[in-house]
Amino acid sequence: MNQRQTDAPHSKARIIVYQIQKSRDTLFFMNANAPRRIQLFATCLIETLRPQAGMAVVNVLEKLGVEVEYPRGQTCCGQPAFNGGAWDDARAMARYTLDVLSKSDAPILVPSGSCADMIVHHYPEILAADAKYGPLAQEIAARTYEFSQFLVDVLGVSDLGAQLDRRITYHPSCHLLRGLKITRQPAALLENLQGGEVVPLPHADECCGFGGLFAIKMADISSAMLDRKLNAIESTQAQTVVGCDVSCLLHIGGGLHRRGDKIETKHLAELLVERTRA
Amino acid sequence: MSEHISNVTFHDRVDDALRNQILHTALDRATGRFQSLRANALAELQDADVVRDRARLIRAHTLSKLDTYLEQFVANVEKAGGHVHFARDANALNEIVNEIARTRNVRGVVKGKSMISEETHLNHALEAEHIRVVETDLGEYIVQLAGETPSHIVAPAIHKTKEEIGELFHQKINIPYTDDPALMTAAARHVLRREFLDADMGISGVNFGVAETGSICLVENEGNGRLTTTAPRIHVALMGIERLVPNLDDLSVMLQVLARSSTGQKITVYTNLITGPRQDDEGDGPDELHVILLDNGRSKVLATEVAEILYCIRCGACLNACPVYREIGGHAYGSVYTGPVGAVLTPALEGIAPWSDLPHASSLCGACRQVCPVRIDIPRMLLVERDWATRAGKLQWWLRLGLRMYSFTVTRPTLFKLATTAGRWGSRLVGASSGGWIRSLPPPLNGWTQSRDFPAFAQKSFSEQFEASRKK
Amino acid sequence: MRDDKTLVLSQIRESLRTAHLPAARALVPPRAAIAQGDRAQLIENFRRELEPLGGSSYLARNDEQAIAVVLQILGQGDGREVLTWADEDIPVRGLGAALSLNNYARLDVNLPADAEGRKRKLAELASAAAGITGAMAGFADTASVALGTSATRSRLASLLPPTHIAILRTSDLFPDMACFFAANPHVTRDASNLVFVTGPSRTADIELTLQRGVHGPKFVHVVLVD
Repeated sequence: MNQRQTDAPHSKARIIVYQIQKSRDTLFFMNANAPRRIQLFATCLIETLRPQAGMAVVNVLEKLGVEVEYPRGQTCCGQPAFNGGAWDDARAMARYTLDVLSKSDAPILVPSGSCADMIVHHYPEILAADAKYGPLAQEIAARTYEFSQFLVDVLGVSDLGAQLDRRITYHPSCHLLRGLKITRQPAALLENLQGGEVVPLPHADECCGFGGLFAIKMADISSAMLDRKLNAIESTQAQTVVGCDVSCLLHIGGGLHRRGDKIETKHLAELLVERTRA
Repeated sequence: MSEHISNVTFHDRVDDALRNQILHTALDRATGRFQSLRANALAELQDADVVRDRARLIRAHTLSKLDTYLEQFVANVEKAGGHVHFARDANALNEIVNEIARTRNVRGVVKGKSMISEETHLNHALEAEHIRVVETDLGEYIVQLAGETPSHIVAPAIHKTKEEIGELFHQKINIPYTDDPALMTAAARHVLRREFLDADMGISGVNFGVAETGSICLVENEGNGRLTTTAPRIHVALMGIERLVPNLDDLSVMLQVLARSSTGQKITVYTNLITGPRQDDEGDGPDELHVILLDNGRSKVLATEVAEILYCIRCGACLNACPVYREIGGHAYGSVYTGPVGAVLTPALEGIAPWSDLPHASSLCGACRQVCPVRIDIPRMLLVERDWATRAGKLQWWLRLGLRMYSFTVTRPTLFKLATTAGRWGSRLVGASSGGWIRSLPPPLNGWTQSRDFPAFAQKSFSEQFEASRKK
Repeated sequence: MRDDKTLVLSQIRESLRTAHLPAARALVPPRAAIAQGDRAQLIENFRRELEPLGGSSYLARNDEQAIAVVLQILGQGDGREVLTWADEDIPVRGLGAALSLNNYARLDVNLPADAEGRKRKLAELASAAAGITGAMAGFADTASVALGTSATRSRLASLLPPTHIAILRTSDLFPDMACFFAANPHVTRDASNLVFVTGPSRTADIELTLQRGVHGPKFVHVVLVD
């Protein structure tokens, strides 16, 4: 594991020179030295199943005056093959994605904890022996950020003036939490929501049972784990479950829908653009 | 080697486990309690992270010079009057123990907890020679009476409720039925005390061997370990070749994390440091000490990508933290070592082919890595072994094919777009539009829809929506 | 065929040539020096730690007080037979005399060399009511007492009877195990069996319900002599 890259943005974030940024009708305190341009790696699940989460990410960034590049030809980071044990296939997808992302020198923003973890930690690992792509993987990993991490650590923004009108609960997805060790960034963004209520999720750090192909290969175990998660969510009486991984949210959402629950799932970005306080 | 019952698959065992309500109750109670005990114990330890880093460093350093430390350890055990035997595999170990028993006229054996003896199925080997073997750790004793195997490294009978144990004691040791743990414990003490006093040989495990002093360290709470290594005239200690620490200072570091991670205690009730048999002038203790070092694949694991699994100190914390273990318990794994560490260690020691399901029995949530006192990156090693499984041709054909097609598709953007469109049409065909849900998927994807709906493909993909927003 | 030792060691050497062992270093850096606590603090810590484990501690200002405490503990049971270390191994003068004066019989713990004689002897000793030992050290952070064997310090005295009384000089208290090892680097050379006892024997093997006194003593008393 390459710990350096996870820690880098945090340490950078310690010294933030703030400036006031006026965007549309809201004022933000922002890191004066933050990049004003990013490349968005939207992930295959947002592309095909949950585009509104991606659009919300774009909205948040543009609101903050950050230009969004969308590298053409992007598809999937290759995590399904990597986790499935088909590493040769995973390497092919990693090399492909690295080619797509290396055309621009802008930092890469990934609105998914597990896909960001794949690029940041596992690309350098599976391509270590590759003379061309090994070093490229290191270079790309060093400028890849998860959504909440980018907002809080790089831009220095944790209050977007967003408003909340209901009871929500937050599920910290596993690769975000334990792979990238991102905890305080989403917490800071949620803390600054005004109105509504953020209810702690019991046993929040337990896996929802998704695990990619695990949900299909080991469907029985996965279902049992999901049951526990759904019970915990129901116990909060929240109307919305928020997370930073569309994969886990779709898994949880599918379970909630099967149960006939009215609880909806939302990516953190969707919540941040929903309503702006006056 | 482990018994691999070929006609019962991993999935069958999982099915049974998931349906077993008693098992669920027992596991829930136990793992939950273990987790909170561990968390509290580590919270109390000053600089817990520093100590864990040091513990990891000690394990890594020891293994990097394992040959040197083994030779030092052997020389020092012998200097203290002990005998050392190497066993290349399970059979060799069993044969050594049987040989010691034969030449010394041993009829009865008492045993302390030893995962090595489970690994080699030593009890069967001794019983085949008509030697009586009695497990003396309460959990192991329960499991032995029930004719089962341990389901947890630290708490062997974790899968049993007190009612089940009460019934077992009633039938096997003829006491009136009770579900009071105090009465059952007293009964076991009474029965086992006679066994201790009457045994010719005591067999124990080893938590750490100290290279510099030739001591073996054995930690336990019940006192059965002390009795096993004190009362019988012969003490046989079984250890894996990897379980060394260089010196006593290093030992004290390992002990700081072991009990805390394992049972949430600061230290176990008894920390035994045994250096040779009783000395000539000592009144009690065993006349002979035999230390048997088992390889059984470990020396080869050292050369693999999962060598780090040999850092393991068998605390069991990863089992308690694992959401999969909590659902299925230890027996479903089918292996001697269970839970996350077992899922890595078993294929490493015994080959991936018979155990290719184990590395897949994880959602890779990383809870095991987070609690491991020596910070073993278990998820990474599960992934490495999944790659081994694929290379050994053990990935199901439909997954193999599916992933190959998937990889082919996503590295060709046009094809990817086409596939997305196909997915959209597919969703529409089953009547699910954007934001909708699909209630049932065809095999082999039906595992998903057994308990949850699948999201419909968006009628307008993200890239289409993004492009459209640029044109405004 | 090569013997197993040669085979295993050569396989290890071969594997180590290519082994990847994360975090492996040539040396484990020495630990930072550990501060010695002051005596009163060590006593307080030791006693505070022992209590929740179900053990009892007593602070005796002199030998007479210590002897009184021991006799009082013994008086709580019925048995008259005890297993003890030799007088010189228990840091209280006059205990031996006090025991005989109060009609306690000290059993001889020397196990005979023949197998059957050994078993008979063990069966005899098993009925002893209490064991009385000294202790070479105590660890304040865990409330452990260190018992090392010798010709006159038996293992069985702290193991077979249901009650164990350990008598410890407060000057032998250490902050923790690491300090003890640092001060006694050759401790394992002098005692073939060294055990750190931390409270009464216990198990939680039945539904993680705590039970005391499984195979070892159910009652552990530590008499600290100042």
